[in-house]
Amino acid sequence: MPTSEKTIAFLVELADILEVDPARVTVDFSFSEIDWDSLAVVSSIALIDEHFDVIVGGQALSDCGGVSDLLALVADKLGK
Amino acid sequence: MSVSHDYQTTAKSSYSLNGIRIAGVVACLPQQRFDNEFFVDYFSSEEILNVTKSSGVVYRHQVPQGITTADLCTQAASHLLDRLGWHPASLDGVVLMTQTPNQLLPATACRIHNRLGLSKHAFAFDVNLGCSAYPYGLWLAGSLMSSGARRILLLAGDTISCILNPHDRATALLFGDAGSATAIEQQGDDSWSFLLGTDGSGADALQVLPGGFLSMDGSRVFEFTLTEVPQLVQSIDLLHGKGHDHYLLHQANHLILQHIRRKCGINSEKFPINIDRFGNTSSATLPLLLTSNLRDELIVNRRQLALVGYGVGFSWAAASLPVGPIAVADLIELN
Repeated sequence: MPTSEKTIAFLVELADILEVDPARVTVDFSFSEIDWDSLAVVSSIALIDEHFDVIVGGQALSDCGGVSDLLALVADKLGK
Repeated sequence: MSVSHDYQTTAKSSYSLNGIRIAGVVACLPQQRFDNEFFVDYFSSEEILNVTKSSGVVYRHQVPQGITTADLCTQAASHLLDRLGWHPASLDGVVLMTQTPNQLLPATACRIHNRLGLSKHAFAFDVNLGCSAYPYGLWLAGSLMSSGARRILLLAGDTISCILNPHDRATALLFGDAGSATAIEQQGDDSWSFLLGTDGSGADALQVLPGGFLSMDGSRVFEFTLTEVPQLVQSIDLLHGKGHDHYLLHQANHLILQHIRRKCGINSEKFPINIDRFGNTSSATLPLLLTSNLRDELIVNRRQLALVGYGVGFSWAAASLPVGPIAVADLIELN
């Protein structure tokens, strides 16, 4: 899993992309609460690359149900 | 003139050409310009806002029915030849880079050959490349010169609006139309370097099936771009041996461009962006940057440019070359 400091900074910017109050975007946040569409996905690919220096696949990201899945995907990529 | 091919310089194939220069460049836009409000019949205001926030497109020029890629490129070429004082008969050939030819056959370059009144000894052919087309075209024109050609007209243009589904928000708001002409001649001792590449496993991520519209898998294209292009930019710097005065990247999408710029650590003054004014014009984005954002500088100065194209194919190419001072760098509208 990415370090918590990095994760917090990432989640703040993810909230900005998703246009959601940053206080709501925690590991428990579900993408069913928002429009997790292709635009949100491509913006998140760029944000993940910027914060964690890894490129995640669009389909894998699109399949994420929420922040916890997204962070697990990043951790999996970082571990490879 | 010498040509070398070196697989060892970087991880990618690199090529170099000597003794050629760009004498002038002209880009030609359709007169019709549409802002984002034009699309309210197809999408909600919120959808338009969301899409354009990412793409960065505010205006795009699009051809009316009946106007073709050949019309845009022919006018650009006529203007360029006239301004340079080049007689059409002095050209050894014309190469058209496009994915929207006037028809399946014959090659649109043959029709343009006739309209420009080129010599019967001149070659004319099309090359089917889009977003990566312009640096590929420079490489191809330069390579043709290594076999003896002295003056070549490189045309790059597309009318992507003709293959767009107006209800597809991923593409309908993104693309514009434009044509261009670049005059290339054998002269001087400048050195041009190139990196070329292809990943055909991405062929169906951006495609037009027979009788259909353009379809784009945005997240796959995005993933490809972020994986390949920052490396490509860094590799062209490495190949040149130092940084460039300007980095001209295919204007694919504002979000992508800004991300690549930050990732490569390039100052925004060296990294012009004009997708807001013209949209993604496929093969014509780099000539549009040369004739709009860099025009005043290239008319009076010599600049070492990195020209980087990437996209449909997946195909990519980067060129490092000095440009300027050049006699012509005009942006015109179709009469």
